[in-house]
Amino acid sequence: MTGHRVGRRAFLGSLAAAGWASLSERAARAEDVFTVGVMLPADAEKATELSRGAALGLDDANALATLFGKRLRLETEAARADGQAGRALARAGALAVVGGLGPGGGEALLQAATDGTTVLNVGAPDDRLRNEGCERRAFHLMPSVSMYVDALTQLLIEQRKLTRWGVAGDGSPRGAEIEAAARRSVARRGGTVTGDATGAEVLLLAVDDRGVDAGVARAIAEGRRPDRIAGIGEAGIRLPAERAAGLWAVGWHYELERFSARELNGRFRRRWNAPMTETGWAAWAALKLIGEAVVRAGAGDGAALVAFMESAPPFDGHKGEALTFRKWDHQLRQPLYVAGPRKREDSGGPLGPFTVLADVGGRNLDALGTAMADSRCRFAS
Amino acid sequence: MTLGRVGVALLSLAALGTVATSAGAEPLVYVSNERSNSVTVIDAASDKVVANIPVGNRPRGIGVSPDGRTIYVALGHDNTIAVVDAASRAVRARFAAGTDPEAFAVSPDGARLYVSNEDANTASVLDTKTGKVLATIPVGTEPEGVAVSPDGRLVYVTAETTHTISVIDTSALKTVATILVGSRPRESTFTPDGQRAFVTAEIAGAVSVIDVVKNAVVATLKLDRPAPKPKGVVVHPSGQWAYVANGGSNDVAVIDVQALRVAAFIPVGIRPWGLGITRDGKKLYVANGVSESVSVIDTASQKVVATIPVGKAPWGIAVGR
Repeated sequence: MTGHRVGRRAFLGSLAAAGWASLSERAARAEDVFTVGVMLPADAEKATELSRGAALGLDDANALATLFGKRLRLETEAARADGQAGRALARAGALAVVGGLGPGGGEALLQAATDGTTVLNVGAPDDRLRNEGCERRAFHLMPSVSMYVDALTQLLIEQRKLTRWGVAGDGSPRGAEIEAAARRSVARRGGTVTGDATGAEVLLLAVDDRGVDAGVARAIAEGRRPDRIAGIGEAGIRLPAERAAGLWAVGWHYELERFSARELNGRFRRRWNAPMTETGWAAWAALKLIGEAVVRAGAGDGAALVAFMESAPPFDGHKGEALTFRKWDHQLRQPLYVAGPRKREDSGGPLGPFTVLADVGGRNLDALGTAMADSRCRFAS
Repeated sequence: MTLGRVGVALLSLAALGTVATSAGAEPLVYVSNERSNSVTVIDAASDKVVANIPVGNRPRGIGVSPDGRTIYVALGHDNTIAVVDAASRAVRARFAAGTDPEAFAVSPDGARLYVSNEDANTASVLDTKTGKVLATIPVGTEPEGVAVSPDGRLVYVTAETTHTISVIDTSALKTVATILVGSRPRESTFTPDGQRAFVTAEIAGAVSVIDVVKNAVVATLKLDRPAPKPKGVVVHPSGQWAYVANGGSNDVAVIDVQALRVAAFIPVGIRPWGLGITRDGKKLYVANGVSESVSVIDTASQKVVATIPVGKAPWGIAVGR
């Protein structure tokens, strides 16, 4: 059995558990029903995170939509690099497609946008998808590589005055993007990226998810202080307690409480008995946003959905600020968080080894990510 | 104004739980302090603190019975609503109130409390004599602010995640309409004549104005401030002005109710949250959560005339007697 099949089965099981499978056709016909496509990655764990977030988002979307005679439903398809998944979901009548996870997942999703489907990226942080690879019909809820790196430099350079940075790369495309973003971000905040990483105050791991564990181990072996190692994304905070080290920029954390994050995290945990990951958050947000477009704007097709999201509706992502899409690259403005190891005596507890150390972005959300003047995105009209 | 309308106005103010009921007496102002687990009592005649009442853990929503004899305080970490005797200033009962109760409203006749249950997506109706739950009514997702219409016939419950107002018929004890408003509605309040309601929408940075008869939004007033994050809202007893606490921009917006426009912004402390207005409408009290103070606004001059230190993280305000 492939990982994909496990993920798909788990996802369909979650739908049944939520009661959607028991909906009668008669009831469904009485409402305006909108299909949202979901591209599932091959990785079973990621597929589960995506499906859980999408399911909670569907709950929240339908809690609103059904009050107004509308309903959303989900249709799933395995993500494939050849664009077939997007076309299959389009044939199924999907108003929009949510995806972007896994190797090639971002490209597959953007191919669907090229083919005319409105897509919401909840898994691919790649800067290139928001620049030369951008598409008018693509909206990015997942933070970009540049946003993550800016979160780290805001905290470590502006607040902690750690200005000398080294970069430890793994040669991967993701690593190259992280390094390029770091050189821009560090310079913009008055720091320097040293050629000799051994003399750096902060060592940034410019690696893809698979390289995080080895990168941390190597940095520790070289005598790096655990709080001077930095990286992006959740792969870092998934490290086991004995290897917990580093400061990790993330888009969500299951311990967030302010701005009703506690309530959202609580709903997710009650529903799935599992923590809400940043993939889960992005998928939840995508479904909820589509539901609001359907209800608020009567968006019944992809073009109307694009128009709604380009109108910058103030989306409530339980992050305390109105979240809107940037007009120049369709990236969702949002606060980010920096997580780091919790106190050693607590690190083996049920909450896991990492905790939230800082919120980043605040009211100047355009300080995170690619500015309009630097964007290489040019939407076709 | 006819006598009938006066009666309606008084009922509406009582419904807000924010006014004195004895004519001529300067009221006492009650402030819930979320992080010092207390209620600060301010004498509105002198604007001095006259007492601090320990009430329980994480007090937020606060209201006063129409006769002014009882103060109700939602205790989030105790999962109860404390019933405080205004004369003795002692907690005399605790009503079970679901998990982490935050907001509620007192009925104009004082017989009921309407409580939002955030985790359960319901509103509970409590008998104030017994504390028993009379009904549990499904509402939107993540319900919060609760307001009762001046005649007591309707209850509005905001729902932060569905961005809706659930309109509850208090006779039938069921939701009779749902109104879509701005993103993350927090609180609502009715005008004294009961014809309109004002709803703060925190993430939208706006106030939705509702035609109560039509169950429809008739205006959306943007608060022209960077991230204003409106929370508390009250209407002046004259019905002429509505006041909105902008927790993000540290001011109070003054809305011309007839013209439906923002007439002024009054700077106050940091993170203004709860509001309370005196029966005569002369003074507006503002809980400044981060400043740990209460700003007193003279409504005629629209200026802060006093700033009173209170407990930690002041949250809600109720004006009693």
